[in-house]
Amino acid sequence: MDTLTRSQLFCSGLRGGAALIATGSVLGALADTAGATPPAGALGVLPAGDLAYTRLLIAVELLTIDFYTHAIGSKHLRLGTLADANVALINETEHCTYLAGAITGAGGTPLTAADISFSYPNGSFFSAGSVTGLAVVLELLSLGAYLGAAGNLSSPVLQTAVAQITANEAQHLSAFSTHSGDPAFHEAFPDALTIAEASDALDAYTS
Amino acid sequence: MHSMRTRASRHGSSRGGRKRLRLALAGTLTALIVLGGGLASTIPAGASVTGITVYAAASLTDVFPAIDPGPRYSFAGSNTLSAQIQLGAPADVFASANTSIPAALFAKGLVEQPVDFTRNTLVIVVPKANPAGINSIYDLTNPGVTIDIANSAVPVGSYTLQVLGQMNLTKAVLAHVVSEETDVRDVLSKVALGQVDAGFVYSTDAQTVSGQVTVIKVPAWAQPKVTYAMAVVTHSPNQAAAQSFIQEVLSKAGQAKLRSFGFLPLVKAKEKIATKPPAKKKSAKHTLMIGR
Amino acid sequence: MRRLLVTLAFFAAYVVALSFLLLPLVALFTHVTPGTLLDQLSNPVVGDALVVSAKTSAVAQALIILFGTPTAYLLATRRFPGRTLLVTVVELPIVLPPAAAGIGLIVAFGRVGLLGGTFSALGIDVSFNQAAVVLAIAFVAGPFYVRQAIAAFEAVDDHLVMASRTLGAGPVRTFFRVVLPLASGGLAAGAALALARGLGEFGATIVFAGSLQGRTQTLPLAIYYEFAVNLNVALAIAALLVIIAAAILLSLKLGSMWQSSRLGSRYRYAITASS
Repeated sequence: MDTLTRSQLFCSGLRGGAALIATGSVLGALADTAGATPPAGALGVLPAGDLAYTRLLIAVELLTIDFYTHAIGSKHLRLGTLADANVALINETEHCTYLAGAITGAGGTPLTAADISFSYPNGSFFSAGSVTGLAVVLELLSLGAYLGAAGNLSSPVLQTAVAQITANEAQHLSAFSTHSGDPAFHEAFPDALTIAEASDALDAYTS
Repeated sequence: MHSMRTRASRHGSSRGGRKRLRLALAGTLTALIVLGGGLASTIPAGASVTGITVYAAASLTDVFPAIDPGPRYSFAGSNTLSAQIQLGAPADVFASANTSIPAALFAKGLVEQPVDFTRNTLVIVVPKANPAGINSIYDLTNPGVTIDIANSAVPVGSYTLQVLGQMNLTKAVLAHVVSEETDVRDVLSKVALGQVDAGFVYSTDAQTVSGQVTVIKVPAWAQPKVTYAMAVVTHSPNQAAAQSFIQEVLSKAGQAKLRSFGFLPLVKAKEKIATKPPAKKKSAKHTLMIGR
Repeated sequence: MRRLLVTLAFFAAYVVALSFLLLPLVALFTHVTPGTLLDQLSNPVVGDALVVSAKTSAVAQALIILFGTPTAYLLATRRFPGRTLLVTVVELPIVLPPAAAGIGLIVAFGRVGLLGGTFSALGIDVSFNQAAVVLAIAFVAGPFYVRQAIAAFEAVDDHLVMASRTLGAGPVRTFFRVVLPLASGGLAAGAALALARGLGEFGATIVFAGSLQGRTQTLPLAIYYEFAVNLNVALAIAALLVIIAAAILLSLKLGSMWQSSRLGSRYRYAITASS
């Protein structure tokens, strides 16, 4: 990633997210490259319902990007957790970039980090335990939002992309659950959130 | 004091009595000064401004007279007021629910440099009975829902369109709009009366009829930047009085009054996210010894 | 000398009154160039408002005449206890402020009104659509027609009606062949008044039917909205309304002139107050 694409500019989080993208390319190369690309097909003309969902998901991604940036910056995370947080940040940025591309492709202007500021419960970044705990909560939110989206989109290409992202968020959830000391997984059918529920859950973290 | 003098003279030591008298006088004077100073700070800085006409956005109907009951007020949609000012209406101050209308008038030389004075939030209101069962902005796209908004030239109408655009709900929601009003209070009254299922107003308007409507939040990530601006009208013959009215609104008391009505402060404090708990203050080991 | 002064005073009053009434109408056409006005007519706002006004006024006018004529005839010819009260009630909307009429319509026919539940049960929708506009126009303009119609029917010479009956015509035939033609002048005047009032209706419409371009935004509503958006469009619509109003008045005058010339030869002895 030599030059930042326009979509990536929309998704670079606070405090040197761009720098992280640049350094992250090294870490990204370390990650498994199989299935690391979004669906190749063109999105085509997306119906308004799909675009409405996409906009919400972009907001959710901006939340997780902001969270991981602060989590890494808090300097509380231990080596294994820190590595996962770094990769998670790269993943979320790539998700956001793809979704932002869908909006710009439809002629709209997606939300950027500059448009919104997030706030977290008091004490969220005081210790490694609190950070990983919040990571689990936010990944649950993200997973629920994407699961809800998966069943309500009409564009097949977008559906595939959302399915891939959902799988990735589940991986994050699993990893941070383990770091929190909880079992990695246990629900056979994780809960999906409706678009309204996802929006309300997101509202708790926006000021 | 009279009794002290007699007491002192009764005790016979006049010097000691005079000293106590001076102490008592000093004490009383200090108390009076402190009290008087305290009282002075509760009296508003300037007297009520009279003899001017203020043209203000409809959403300011309750708060402006509460800040200063002196001026003559005319409340309507900001664009209607702007049109009237362009036609020579006798306004001294113009307060709009956005920054673009005053800026346009300033570009035409009809008002002085506008100044931002408060912010607000856009919300959805539904009648208390909520016949259409609306619980979120996404429910507005359900079939059969009737919605009332202000027309796009009115600030609140343009903010509504901004929100809908930001959420890609424009076509779906506008298909359910049954009426467009010329100011925000007309939207509010249609919802309060139960004539429509939902309407877009400011959170401050919803507060004025809280028993008749329920508020549904617009997601914070889609909120437009609602900033109010005001300016002195150039052809006003009462420039000084108009300026002092603006200062009144910008003053601490004026801003506090705006906040009490639900308006947001101008500058949003950007929180710094703490990564460690605040350092514990050293416990006070020594106690102050008095008297003894 | 005194006579000259009195004549001058009358003349001055005449000039003031005439200019006061004429100036706003003239200014409408001269504030901007006629070219600008004509340009605005191609604005979709104007076209939509014209269509809505035309449709709703036409339907309202038909309803007013359909229901108003028998009502007026009954009130004009029958005498019963409470008649004066009924006549006052029918004429009340004339003096009622239109906004008050609008609120009254809401609490009577609106969704939360007295008949709201009944209407929705019957599937009748009078909420923020052209039916609502028609109701608003009929409510405020109807009484104008009914009042004129009552006067017109009252002026019909009773002897003629009785003569018609004695000659063997039934009540229905008498009404259509004798009463109606004799009262037609007054009825036409009432209808023209009601049409003009209905076209200009604003307060009740905006409160009860709302305002949405292409659906419920009539010409007067469009003026109000465009005033704060684009003054030239508002001017164009106002000018259009002046022309329509003048056309209505002119057709009324011409109509009554034509009628009197047509009737003059046959009913020279039946001079009614209405023609």
